Parts: sequence; C-alpha cells; structure tokens
Amino acid sequence: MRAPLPEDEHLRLETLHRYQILDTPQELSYEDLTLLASEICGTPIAAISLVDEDRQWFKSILGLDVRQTSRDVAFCAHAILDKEQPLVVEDATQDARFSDNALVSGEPGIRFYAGTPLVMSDGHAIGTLCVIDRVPKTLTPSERRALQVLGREVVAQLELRRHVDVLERTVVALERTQAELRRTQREQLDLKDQFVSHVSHELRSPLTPIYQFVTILLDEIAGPLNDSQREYLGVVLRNAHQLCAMIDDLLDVTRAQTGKLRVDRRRMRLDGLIVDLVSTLSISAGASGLTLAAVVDGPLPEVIADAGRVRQVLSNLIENAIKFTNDGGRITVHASVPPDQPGVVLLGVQDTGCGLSAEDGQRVFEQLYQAENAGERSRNGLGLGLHIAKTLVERMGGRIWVESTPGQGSRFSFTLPIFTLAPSLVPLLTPENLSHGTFAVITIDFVNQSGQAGADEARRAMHAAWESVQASVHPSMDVVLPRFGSAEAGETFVVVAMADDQGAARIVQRIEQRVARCDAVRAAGYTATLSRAVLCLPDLAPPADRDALAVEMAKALSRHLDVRCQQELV
Amino acid sequence: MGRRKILIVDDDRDQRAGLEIRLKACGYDVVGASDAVQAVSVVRKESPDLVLLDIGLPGGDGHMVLRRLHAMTPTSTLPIIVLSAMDPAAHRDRIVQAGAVAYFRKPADNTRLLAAIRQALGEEAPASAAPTAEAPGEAAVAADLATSPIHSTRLPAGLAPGH
Repeated sequence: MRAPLPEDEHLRLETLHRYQILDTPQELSYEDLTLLASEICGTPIAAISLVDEDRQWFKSILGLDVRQTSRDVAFCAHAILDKEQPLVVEDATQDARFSDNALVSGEPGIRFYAGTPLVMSDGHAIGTLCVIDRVPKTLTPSERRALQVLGREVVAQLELRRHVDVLERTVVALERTQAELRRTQREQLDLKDQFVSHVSHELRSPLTPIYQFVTILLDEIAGPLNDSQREYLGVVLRNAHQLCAMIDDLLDVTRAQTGKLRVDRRRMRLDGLIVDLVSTLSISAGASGLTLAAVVDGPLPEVIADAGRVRQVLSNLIENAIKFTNDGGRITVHASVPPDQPGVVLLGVQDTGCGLSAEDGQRVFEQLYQAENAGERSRNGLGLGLHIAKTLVERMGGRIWVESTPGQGSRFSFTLPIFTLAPSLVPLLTPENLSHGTFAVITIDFVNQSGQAGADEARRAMHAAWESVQASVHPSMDVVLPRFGSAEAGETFVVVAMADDQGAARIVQRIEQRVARCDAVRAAGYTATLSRAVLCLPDLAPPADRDALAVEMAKALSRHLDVRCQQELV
Repeated sequence: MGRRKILIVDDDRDQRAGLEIRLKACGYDVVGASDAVQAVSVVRKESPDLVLLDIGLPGGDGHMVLRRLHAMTPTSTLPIIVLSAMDPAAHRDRIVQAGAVAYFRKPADNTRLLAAIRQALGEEAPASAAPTAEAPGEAAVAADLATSPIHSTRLPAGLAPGH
C-alpha cells in the first residue's frame, strides 16, 4: 500500500530541495551516523533516506547496494507522516500496510523496520534515519532513544551544511562586490587621469602660440620695442609660464593619485644641479629685488634619486620663496650631510619672507591648501606644488618639512638618501660565493667620440647597453650597480662579480658579445671599453657578519673606483 | 651650404605661423603641412633637411608619418623632432623608439628647440654646452660656475671622487 502524502507535502518538498543534498556524493559524516545506527540497533541494514517527489534517495546506506527506490514501496514515506516519533514495524508480513510490499515479498525481504523522521528547523520532515532487518525484531526503549538522537544528529549535519553553504555564497558575493568596487574605483581614477591628460593637452595648445608670439615680439623679430612694451610683454610671458606650470601640477597630482607618477631613481650628484638651478633662478630672484645664493657643504656624496624630480622639488621651493619674500630679501639654498643623520643629504631653502603660522606650517603640504593671510601672491598657484613636492620626496625615500617664524621667514627642508654600495653587495655574500676569497670589479665605459648622438638617442642607446650588461650576469653571483646619472658623452656601468680572474674574464667576454650585438649602441656612435680587476675579500676575523663584510667590500670597491677616476683625470 | 629647409607639420595654423616666423628669423627656409598626408607629400616635393612634427594630426597621426618617412629610402635618415602638447609619459618612449631625434612638449623653449635643431642638422653649436631636449631623469647640464652666486669654498671640481 502506497503511503498517503503528508499534509505539508508541497512545503516539505520545497524544504528538501532547499538543502540541495539530493544526488550529492557520499560523505563520511553521514556514513558514520548510519554505521552507528546499525551497530546500536543490531541490524544489518541502515540508511539515511530522503523522500523526494517520486523516489526515496539514500544519502547514506549500509548493507544494500542501491542509491534510490520508488516512493511507492518506501517504508520511509510512511515514517515521515508522524513527525513526533519513530515508525517501528516489528514484522512487515503481519502489517497490512506492508505485507504486499515488493521489498517484503521479494528482495531484500524486509521484516523489521524502524525509522525516525528527520524534522528540519522549519518543521518539515524530509526523510528518515532508518534501520532494517531481514528477520522480525523488537526495538528496546534505549535503542529507540538512540535512533532518535542519531536522527537529530543527521538533521544537525544537514543544517550545518546549509549554513556553511549560505556562508560560502555570502563570502563569494562579498568578494565579487569588493572586486567590483575596486574596479569601479580604478576605472574612475583612470577616467580622471584621461580627462586631466586631455584637458592638459587642450590647454597647452592655445598656450603655445601665446608663448611663440610673445617671444617673437620680445626678441624684436617683428621690430624694436620701447621699454614699456618690453615690460608689458614680460608680464604676459611670466603669466604664460605660470599657467604652464599649473597645468603640469594638475597632471602630476592626478598621476600621484593613480600611482602613475614616474620616479626614476639613480645614483646622482646634487652639486651641479644646485649650481645650475640657482644660477637659472637668480635671474627671476634678481627681477624681484632678491638675492639668491647657495651654500653647499661639498662635495656632497652621491644620492640615489631622480635628477629631474629633485630639480622639480627644489625649483618649486625656491620659486615659492621668491613669491613670498619682499623686495631686498634673501634666499639661501643649503645642502649638507647633517651630523645627526649621516645617511642622507639635507637640502634646505631659507627665506626672509613673511613666514608661516603654526597651523599653516602643518598644512602647507596638503593638496589645494593655501595660507589664508598670505596676501594676493598666494593666489598665483593651484596650491598643488608643495603637495607634489612631498609626494616626490617620499617616493625617493626622503622626508620634507618646514620650520617657520611668522614675520621672519621660513626654511623648507628635505632629505634624499645617500647612495651606499654595501646594501647592493649583501645578497652576494653566500658561503659558496665567498669560497674564492676574491671578488672582481668589471667596469664598462661607454664613450661617444662622434658627439653626434641626440639626448633621446643617447638615452635609448644607454638603456639598451644597460639591458645587455644586465643580461650577461648571473643574478645570484654578480650585481650591476645602480646607474650613475647619465651624460650624453657616455656612461660607466660597474659590475661586481663573486668570481676569480678566470670567472671575471668569462663575464667580460659575455658582456662584449652582447654589447657588440646591440644596434642602438652602435648606431648612436658609442664604443665600449671593458676592464676588470680582482680584489681580495676583506680579511675579517669571525664572527664577522655579512653586513660588516659588505661594508668592508664597499670600501675596497670605492678605493678601487676612486683610483680609476683619478687616473682618468690625470 | 645654402639655407637649410625645415618642414613644420602642425594642424594649428597659429602654431605653425609662430614657429615659421621664429625659424625664418634664424635663417632657415620653412615649408608647412597641416595633415599627415600632406606632410608625406611635401617631404617628397620639397626634400626638407629636417621635420618638426606634431603628433595629433588629421588624416593619420604623427606616429604614422614618422613610420612612413623612415620606411622610405630617401627619407629614412631625415631627422625628425617631435613637438606635442600631449603628456610625454604616455608618448615619449613610443616616439623615441620610432626614431625621432628629440621630443619636445609644447610650448617648446625657443633656446632648447633651436639647439636641438642645430644639433640635428649637424651645425656647429655655440661653444657653451647647449642644453637639448627636455630630459627629466638626466643629469643637469653643468652651469657656468663663474657666473653663479655660490659662496662655498669647496664646490665640486667636476668629477669629485666618491665618498
């Protein structure tokens, strides 16, 4: 006899399907519960049966080799009708509901059946945990209780599974939302970048003929000027330059936000840059009735920085000082290695201008900040210059700050890290590499005798040369030292190799071959001269650590390179 | 050697005129073109000694003109200086790769541009080291120490040895 449908059949099926358990693979936790039920009740067959619309499907079954049967013959379809207690059939042949059941008259010949309903949290029974025997049997009260407890465990497992599932889906959704958000933010920044790039292009276009024609007039190409005309055209030119600088600032600030601000750090000297900049800006300082001078405590050690960016920062600070200092004032550019910070070069721009209040001093590096009471002069910029300066200095590994006394002047200072050899050498100092007791210094001098190469061609050639040298060395045994700020006349690359003379000779050969194949270098008219020297590793008594060894090696290296430099000078 | 001829390729008439007046005042002959197609045909007809090339052009951009001119034998070594108002971060590498001898952002500084033109034409530059194209990341050109207001007694004597 087929079991009648439960009153809640429709909702019951919905619940069952919500758990998404039907037709899933076997799982150990359910197998364990089935096994326990069969052990406790002493039956050869036990199952977790889920009653679907037309079938019962076994999440787990012990003692029978089936995964599902028709609902028509399912004992469990009867067991789910009473959600309060287990259905116990002691002898199916004696029960009118089951005596004609195919599973009783035929295989597997069921006689005993006990099934406890699996009642889920919403009150619907989706199936049973059941035990089955081929002989009639009674269930003791403790076996009956155990079966009920295990049934609740199956329910708990199913609930847990659903919660984990919901949680996983929430996490996936959350991750997707986050990714979406990040993409939108990136798109917005890119869009802003494109927009500013476009605007900057469009603004520069009309500015170009303004500059061209004002300079044509000023250079008297179109005829002689009187003093007033010259003065007025000077005002136009100055403002055109300012507009141009503002457009650049706008672009830089956007770049900084999108992480696209390019900073190309190399070994460089500051002395020449300071001299050049101060002499260039002396003209506009002089025009404002100011003295501009540099005090360089030199020669300064090499720093690792981007020369173009250092120039940008320093000229911004000097131009600010010129703007905020009254007629007759004095601006001094200082550069030194501070005694309390031997690892940096300190650059300072001191003026005798109006100074900054404590609050302004705190906030001048913020984007778009302009001091309230600085007068009309402060209106000449976008308020981005110092913000960009801060971003650039920090990108180069330095720090920027201001000290000021209102009415007496300000001093803007920033630091740049000194270039040291030792940190580049430390990774080479492995026990195997140290076994030679020597290291080699290979120098490659690129010289342009033709003097024909333009700046861009020179840059392209030296970049290709650099890549050739890089490709010729073994990264775990050799290091190519950071490039020295380049000149069109040529560049020198230095390779430190953990090798003996033979090893160094092989590297020299490899570099020569690669450089010879480099079209850009040849086309620009460069010739390469290679030289090698083998130096003894510093004899440090153990337990000298790698850092100490690197410092000693760096000293030996500097001495060696200095000797070379001096020979060249003679 | 007679007067050298420079072709200015720019779609902006005012900018072309401004450059033309300046270059003529410096003793150059000047021809103009306002789009990519015209640029290539003027090069064929007029055989200029140098091209000043804008990038944003109608009828095919400056990149295309650059490639076209350098692909043809008679003009493969023609020096081309790119002048563009576009952001160099996005274009410079591509332009230099394509073989332009210099890249200037508009408005280009007259002195620097003329120095680059003279250099590209192989004309003798004045004795003092003339700055060339804008070059962020390059070492600054040495200044004339005699005129600079420096007060330190220990200023770099050029190639000071390392620390």
